[in-house]
Amino acid sequence: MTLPRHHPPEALLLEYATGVLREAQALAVATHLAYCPDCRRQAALLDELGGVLLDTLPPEPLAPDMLTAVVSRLDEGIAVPAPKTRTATADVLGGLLVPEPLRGYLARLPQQSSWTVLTSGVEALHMALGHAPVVAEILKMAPGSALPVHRHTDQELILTLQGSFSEEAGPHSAKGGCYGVGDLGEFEGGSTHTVVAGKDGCVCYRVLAGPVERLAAG
Amino acid sequence: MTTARSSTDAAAPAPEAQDELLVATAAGDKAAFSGLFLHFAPRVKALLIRAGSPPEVADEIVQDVMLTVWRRAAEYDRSRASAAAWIFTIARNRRIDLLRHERRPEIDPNDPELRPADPEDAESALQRAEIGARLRDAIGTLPREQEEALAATFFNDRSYGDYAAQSGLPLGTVKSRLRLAIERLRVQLKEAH
Repeated sequence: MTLPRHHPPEALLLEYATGVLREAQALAVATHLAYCPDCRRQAALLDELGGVLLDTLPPEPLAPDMLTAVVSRLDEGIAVPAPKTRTATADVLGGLLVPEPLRGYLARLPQQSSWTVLTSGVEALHMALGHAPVVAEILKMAPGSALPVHRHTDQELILTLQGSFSEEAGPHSAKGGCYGVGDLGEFEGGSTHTVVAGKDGCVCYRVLAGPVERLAAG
Repeated sequence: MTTARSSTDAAAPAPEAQDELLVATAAGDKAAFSGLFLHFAPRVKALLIRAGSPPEVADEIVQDVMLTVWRRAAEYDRSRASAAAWIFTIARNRRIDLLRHERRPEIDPNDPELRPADPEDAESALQRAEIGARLRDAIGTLPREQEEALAATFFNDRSYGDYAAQSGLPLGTVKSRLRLAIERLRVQLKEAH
């Protein structure tokens, strides 16, 4: 098993650690962490940093008797969460092995979720995460298929779950790279590019933070 | 700031003692839990207020956070995180849930699909504690403006852009200060090894 070669930039990991990152983007980062022991260590280090900063904050006085109130509730029965299923596959993706947390999100998709055709050979499954203009979706691309050349006004994140894609830069930006399983691509707002599936096709989780402008007919 | 801290800090448990309190809490020790509460609950409240929560709401969330600490203490793994870091993540996640009404996506450490780390890279609890100590020292040596950018980033539930607007600094400056702060911490951690 090869390890990912494309990682979230430091700023994105920091936003994940602090909790600033919104859910759809955080899901891409967290699922990359499942594929990438190295980024897990970086993320754990940032959590330690949060711990040190918390520990050194000047304390704020609490409402009176809060400790007593909390201690009196320690013996309260709590709803035991249902045991997590140990199946590591996502049914909606035809039994593809997908790590948590994305697997849980896929399992919770409404029954009536259906694939829509984006362009020839490319289908999308909408995830209903976040509010417009944010779009979170699973992309399933046939071997060699391509997204139309597009420019996004805001950040685009793509995490590969199966197969690979290559980023082909548009006429105004630098050439991209090849993204295999576990790789996370961050493409900044304003960039113009296209995405082409590799010889085995690909399945990805993609988050668009803002609207996309098509530049040419696919 | 210094006078307000002196009375509580005299009895503040050291990081290793905090870890032990959390391990004892997992075994159902209410006195250990109270010790954690006295130290961390007022700091979690300070974190929430800095994140923009009104004091009454912060009190509610502090209770929720500390009850969550009690209920989930058995999941705490000392070799993976310090008690302070673990409580920081609980407070962050409860804040996202209660104030923003969003889930916090996180890995499941027991997921069979989790790609394992090289066993040689695994850190012992001792090494982990040492990293914490180095981190404390390293933060202490940061230039003031970098330390402020770092604290503002961790405790504001807003984007860097808002912090930039608040502090009157251009966004590029905030980002570069943050980057410098993190780079510097990394260099110091590496040197320590």
